[in-house]
Amino acid sequence: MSNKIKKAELLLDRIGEIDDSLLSEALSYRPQRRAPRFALIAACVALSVMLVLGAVGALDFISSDRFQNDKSPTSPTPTSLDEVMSELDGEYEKLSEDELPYRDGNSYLVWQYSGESGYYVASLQKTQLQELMGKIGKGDEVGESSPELECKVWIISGGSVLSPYLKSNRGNIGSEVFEYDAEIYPTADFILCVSAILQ
Amino acid sequence: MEDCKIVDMYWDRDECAIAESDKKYGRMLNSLSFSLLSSREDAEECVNDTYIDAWNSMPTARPDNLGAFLSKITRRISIDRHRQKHRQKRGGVDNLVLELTDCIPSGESIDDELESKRLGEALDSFLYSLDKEKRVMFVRRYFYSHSIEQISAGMGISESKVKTTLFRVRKALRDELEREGLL
Repeated sequence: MSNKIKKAELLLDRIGEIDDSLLSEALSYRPQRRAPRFALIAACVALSVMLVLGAVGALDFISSDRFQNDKSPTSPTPTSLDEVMSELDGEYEKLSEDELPYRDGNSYLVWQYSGESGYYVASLQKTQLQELMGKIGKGDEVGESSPELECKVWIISGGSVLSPYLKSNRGNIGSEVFEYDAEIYPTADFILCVSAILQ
Repeated sequence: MEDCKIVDMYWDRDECAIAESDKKYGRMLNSLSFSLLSSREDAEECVNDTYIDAWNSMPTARPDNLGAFLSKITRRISIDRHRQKHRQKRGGVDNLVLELTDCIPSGESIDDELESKRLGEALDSFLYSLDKEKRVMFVRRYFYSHSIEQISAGMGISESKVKTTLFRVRKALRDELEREGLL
């Protein structure tokens, strides 16, 4: 065996002794997903159209009789999943990642608060799942910088895992929950639906 | 089950520790061993040997990261088995060794244990100096023995970029080892 091969084998052996943290990092690494340029442009156009339509609608509403006459208080509507999850009082089961029921044939809403290691789990009925699935993956894109999430959310069903913060067409399927940066905001409908299920 | 509980079971000489280790890490260890040996049968034997080694090591060892602890044992046992059985054949380990000769400058050999320890420290220090993407790529290739295709798919980058990056990292490692007077 040549001297060079022998030394390379020694190096190979030493690589087997590198820090544990490097091994964990290599296994848990997930690539940053970047929104394609055309998707960003489409999102900007969609946002502009929504703003114009919203402004027109608001002007109509302000000038309408309804606005003049209806002054009754309304219940506050949650505007984000963070808000919904922060109002829960801890009545849900908390599991470790290994205990998550990926393949028991049922569907679950799973969430994890920032800085906590466990996952909270709420069972979903079939109709609730269908309602959520009809509203997932349709939100506005977050743009270049992802927002800091206080709570990450997943839906587990039939061995698949989806997040309302990720686009469902790329890398959003697979039977494990994983760290992610938000690509899209969940829609208001989705947030209301989750709020109704959990409260 | 959490790592610390499994480690406690090893310390308590509870044989369920092996079943729990296999449940949590068996698939990953099998995959690691198979990538080095290209044989399901050998890989399974190496993973079983890993649990025996772990059983004999705990106590006294108390690893914080059981997955990394078992991975290192599996990798060592698999490489040893490969060396025993396939000296004459070219396979996964040989390919890694051949690639790593890029990191080896010409010169005298070093067998001294102290130098070997220094090599380990230099290696850790070098890896921490890399940016995260390069570091992950290097560890996946040379610790976990992932193929270029696996790394490309897992990291969302092209195969040619993986090859180019690994080539540059190997050259940078050679420069570093030369600078440190190692290898």
